[in-house]
Amino acid sequence: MRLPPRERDALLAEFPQGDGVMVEQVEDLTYVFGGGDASAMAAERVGDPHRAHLRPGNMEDVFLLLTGRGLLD
Amino acid sequence: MTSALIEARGLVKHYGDFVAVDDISFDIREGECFGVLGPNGAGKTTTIRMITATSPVTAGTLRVAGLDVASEPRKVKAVLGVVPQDDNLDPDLLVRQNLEVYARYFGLDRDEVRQRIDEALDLFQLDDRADSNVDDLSGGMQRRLTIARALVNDPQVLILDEPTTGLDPQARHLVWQQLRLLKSRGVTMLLTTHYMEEATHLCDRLVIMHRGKILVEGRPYDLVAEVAGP
Repeated sequence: MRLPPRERDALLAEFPQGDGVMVEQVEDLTYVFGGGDASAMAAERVGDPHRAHLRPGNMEDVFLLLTGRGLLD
Repeated sequence: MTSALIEARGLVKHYGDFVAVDDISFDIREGECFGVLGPNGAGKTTTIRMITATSPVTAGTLRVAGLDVASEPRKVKAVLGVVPQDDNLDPDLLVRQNLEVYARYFGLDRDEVRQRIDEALDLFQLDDRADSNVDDLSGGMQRRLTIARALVNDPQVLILDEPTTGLDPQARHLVWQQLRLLKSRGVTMLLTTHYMEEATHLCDRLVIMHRGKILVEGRPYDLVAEVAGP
């Protein structure tokens, strides 16, 4: 999701990390992984797919979570 | 239990003080497509070079089709089909001639070669370009020809090092379709790729490498569920 910091922090406060929820901040983008219905509820709360978009996890998420986003070469 | 065609145990590769591959172990089973993913410099291509007996193993054991790579490199090369990252076709030869010359390295019977070449050209939809110059082929056609060439010796394992890098989506999907067809025929494949969608579609199991080590191994959808949530 891409939200102003105050709105983002308020939303994330409702879904603390751990308990199956993992949050990754990349520049102005916030990724929320797992948490069962929590991610869907967060996207629904925002109510604007251009600002908060729900999608299934994929292999690219796995790759970036494990190997990081920094360039090696 | 399906037997392993490639077995790596404690595999290590050093270049001077640099550790390119750091004590990795894995099995590639007969008939499966096994993916090796990782950022540039993770050790993927070095691992492939050891498997294809083009770079000596520093430590550990590596067996291909029951053959020890260190002591029987020529036999290992004979049971592998290799698709390198860059097309290394001979531009001075026609499409069919590229396959014929490659087949000669394996000392195959002339009639058998002709039949295999016809099958490979048909499979990769190049039969009507058999007498074309390689330089007249599109990038996608050249890639398909490189894959077709790797099948000419009827390999036990097909090694694909970033087979669709640089292709447009149409050509990439066509290659995926053809690789799935090969898989359905029981061809064992080792695939490296930077396209995560490609790995998800084609691989039965995969590893993710980073800084020479294997971080995880598993089936694509299991890894997604475990690491990135359902």
